[in-house]
Amino acid sequence: MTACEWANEINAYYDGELPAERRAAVEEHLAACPACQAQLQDYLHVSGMLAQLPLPQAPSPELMQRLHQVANRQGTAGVIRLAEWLTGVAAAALVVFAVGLGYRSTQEQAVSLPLWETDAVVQSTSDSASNSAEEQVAMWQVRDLSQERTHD
Amino acid sequence: MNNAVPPPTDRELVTLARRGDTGAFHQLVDRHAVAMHGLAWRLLGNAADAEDVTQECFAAALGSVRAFRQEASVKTWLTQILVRQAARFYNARKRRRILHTEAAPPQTAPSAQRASDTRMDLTAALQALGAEHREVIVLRELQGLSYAQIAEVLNVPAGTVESRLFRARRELQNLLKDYTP
Repeated sequence: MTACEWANEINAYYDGELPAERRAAVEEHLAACPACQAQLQDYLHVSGMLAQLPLPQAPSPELMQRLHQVANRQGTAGVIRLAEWLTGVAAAALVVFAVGLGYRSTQEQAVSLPLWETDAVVQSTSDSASNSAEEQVAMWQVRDLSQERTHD
Repeated sequence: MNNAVPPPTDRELVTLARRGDTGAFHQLVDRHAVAMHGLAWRLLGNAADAEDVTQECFAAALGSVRAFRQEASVKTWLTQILVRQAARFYNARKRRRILHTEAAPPQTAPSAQRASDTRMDLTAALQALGAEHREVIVLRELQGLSYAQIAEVLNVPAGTVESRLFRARRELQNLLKDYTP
């Protein structure tokens, strides 16, 4: 039998989900539509079959015990959450301490240069000092020589 | 004179459970385990799977109790969780069966005119429905939920529930056509 265009309305009508005015319209249509009457009968039949299904068994005592074990986890979960929070705080404190330590060490490093650097600077200073001393000696020699010529 | 303190409501129990009151969650288990197990049994068709899904449902509820804003009733909230868990479980089971080719085709013909066979065929027909169709049939026909309640549980508009139910009934009628008078 070809489905009537009211088929969807019959579905909602069967479930008692239509407002009063739509319900009245569907009932009026039903009286004159064999396809919708058959559909309604099919719904009743399937519902009747489904009603034959046995009622679900009650949860077994073992299941209830398992469910209560699940509930007990809440208490454990609270302790775990506290432990996680404390671990987090400790980790944060450690990070702050490590960063502070690193910063301090950088500052100290900036003030006291490593040995190789100071050595190089000292070396370089002493080199320039020795150079200027040689220059000084050379200048004295030039001056002495020029004085000797004057005496001549 | 009766000075008995009325038992706490579901909402009060949830509020207590959110604060870590284990006893409150135990009471919620006692109140809703039968209904949730029954729904799981309807959705999955056997007791063993229903037990597993019921346990997963309460474990998930416990895990999300702090996030539950209590806009829906506790029963609706638990039903939402259970339907989701059952769908996940059903899909996993279907994949396993495809892998192991253990799936028995639904026996929808009247194997004998005995009520027990009819019940077995009905159970098989329900399991043969698509997941969305099975959910609305179970929630409407077996649990007696209204369209609005089903819409809330499945988080879809009421119009979707109506059209889905219409198609689900057609599919179920087709599976049970040998039983049509």
